[in-house]
Amino acid sequence: MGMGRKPKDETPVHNRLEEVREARGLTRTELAEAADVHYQTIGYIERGEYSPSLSLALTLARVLKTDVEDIFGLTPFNKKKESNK
Amino acid sequence: MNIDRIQTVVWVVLVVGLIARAVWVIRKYNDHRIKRYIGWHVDATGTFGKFYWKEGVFSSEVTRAMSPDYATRYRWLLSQRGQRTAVVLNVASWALSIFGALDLSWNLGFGDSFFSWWCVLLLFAYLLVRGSVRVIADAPDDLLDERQIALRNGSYRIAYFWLALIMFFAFGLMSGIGEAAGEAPSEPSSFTSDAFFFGGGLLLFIAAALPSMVLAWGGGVKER
Repeated sequence: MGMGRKPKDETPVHNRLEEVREARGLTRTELAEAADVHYQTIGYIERGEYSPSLSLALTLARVLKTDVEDIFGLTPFNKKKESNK
Repeated sequence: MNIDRIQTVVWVVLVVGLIARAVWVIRKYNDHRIKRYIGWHVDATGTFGKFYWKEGVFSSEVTRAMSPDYATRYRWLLSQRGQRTAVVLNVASWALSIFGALDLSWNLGFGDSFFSWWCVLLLFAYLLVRGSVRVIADAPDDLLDERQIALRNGSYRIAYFWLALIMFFAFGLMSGIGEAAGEAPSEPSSFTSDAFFFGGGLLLFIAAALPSMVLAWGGGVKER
């Protein structure tokens, strides 16, 4: 989270939030307002620098009208899989 | 140039600046001029918003600091260089505060005005570092999102460690200075009361500024 210390190793959460957001034609600020978070937080999530809580992940999925598994996952999203969705 | 002359020049610059700001505010705005003059953000309803007593902030202050407009306007301060400069300035102001307090007791030759100016620098550095982290360390939960709350809480945990360390050395230093001055810290005297008064005041400032400094140094709220 950028606190200046290396965080403990934990299972990384991968996401394709930026891709889904852009597909919906939303800016970071618009998505942030809809999900009631700061616009920077969306940037942190998209870059994989912050893993959202379950509550926020579900909220983002609801705002983007998709399933949470389509945005977040424990394995990296590959391009082929994404294009089939 | 002696210290009195410097003080006079600074006062003249300050008064001219205050007058210039008054003229600018009067010409630019038609409402809430006094609030705007003293630098408070005025929201759409013309008020400061809700005041959070526990945190000591107005909601409008936090809302303003969180806005994209603030990020554009204070880009220089929100960059990592700006944030770290604010941290260094705080540490420098603490060092000057210690010299100022010693000067009051031992008359080291800095002059009386030195004491008043380091107080101004201390306040300026504190406000600067708060601004550099968008007031996150002082904001209440309901004005922050979950990431910002996690950042704020993490910064307090680290700041508490540093505060404990600083207090340990500060009391050691004050005791040592008292001994060197030939005055037992246990006996009330002009020196020890001064040292504890100013030392205590400085520690309050340090305690208030440390969480923001931790955030600023770690780049936890980088503008990206």
